[in-house]
Amino acid sequence: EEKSSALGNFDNSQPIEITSDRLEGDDPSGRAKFSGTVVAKQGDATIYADEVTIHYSTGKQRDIDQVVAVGNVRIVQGERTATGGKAVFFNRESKVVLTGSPKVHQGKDSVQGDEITVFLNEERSVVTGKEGGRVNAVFHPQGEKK
Amino acid sequence: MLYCLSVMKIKISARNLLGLFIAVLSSVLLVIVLVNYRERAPEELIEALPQNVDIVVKGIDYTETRDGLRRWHLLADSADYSVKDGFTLIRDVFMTFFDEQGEQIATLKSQTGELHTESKEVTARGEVVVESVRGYFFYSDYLDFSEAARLITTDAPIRMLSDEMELTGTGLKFDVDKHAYQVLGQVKARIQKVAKP
Repeated sequence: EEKSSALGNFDNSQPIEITSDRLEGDDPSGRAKFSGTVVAKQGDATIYADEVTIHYSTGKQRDIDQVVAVGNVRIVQGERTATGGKAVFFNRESKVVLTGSPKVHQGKDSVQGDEITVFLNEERSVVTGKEGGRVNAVFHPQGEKK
Repeated sequence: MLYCLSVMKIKISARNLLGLFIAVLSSVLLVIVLVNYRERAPEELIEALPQNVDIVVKGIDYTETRDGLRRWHLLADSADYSVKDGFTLIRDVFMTFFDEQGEQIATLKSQTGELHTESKEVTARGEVVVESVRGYFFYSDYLDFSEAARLITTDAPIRMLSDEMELTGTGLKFDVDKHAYQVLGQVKARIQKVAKP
């Protein structure tokens, strides 16, 4: 189901194109691990990471449940860039949960916390901080953004 | 009359002698064959052949078993066994692999191949296609199968195809029993059907 948003045209039924140095597949367990300079693209979102593991259901049809990116993770979607040590991409819900000092930039604005959930079909991110952890956000007034 | 009888006697005795001689000769031959070839397994028979001899065989049907269960089965249209090299060059190869319960798990097809019965290894060459019962295929120019490791490997470019994914890369390790695979370099994958509607 394609939703256009101010942000981009993220459509989770689009194919995923992945390049990497190596791949390890374990079909009975429904896992395919791409490692070494991994670049994974779907629609207008691109994930860069050291390792990306695709978890899929192994019934009659292989459907992707989750895509887990680990190591120098950077997700670029239009003007928005999210970085962190790990990102779990929930395909059906078109959202990404970032941990490991995650940070999201959009133009000059940025938010930082312990965990950031980015909604790929909406101009929305949810930043949470653990107990005693701090959430940090920098927003520039409209005039100054350019 | 008497003369005829004696001539007849001579004839009969000559014939008997001839018959006796043939019987003795064939039993001697039989004994030789039994003594020389009965204990020898086919491989030993082949080893006994001079080095420069090649054997051309039509229709190879070879099954590798372990503990009474088939592990893999090889069919080939024709084969040249080279005594010197110690392996058999085979054509139009079709292999079937079985798991520990004797269930079929994958097949392999190729134009030609080499069957090394001693090391229980097969090299497949030319339009090699491996099909897993789990619904995916590997394509390459050449692949090696080792019974000891139960692995299909190559360092050649490969292509992998399933309903959901198409992939190219270089080098492959495919564990026949576990359905686990590694593509060793230059991986490019396209995952088509991604999410349930």
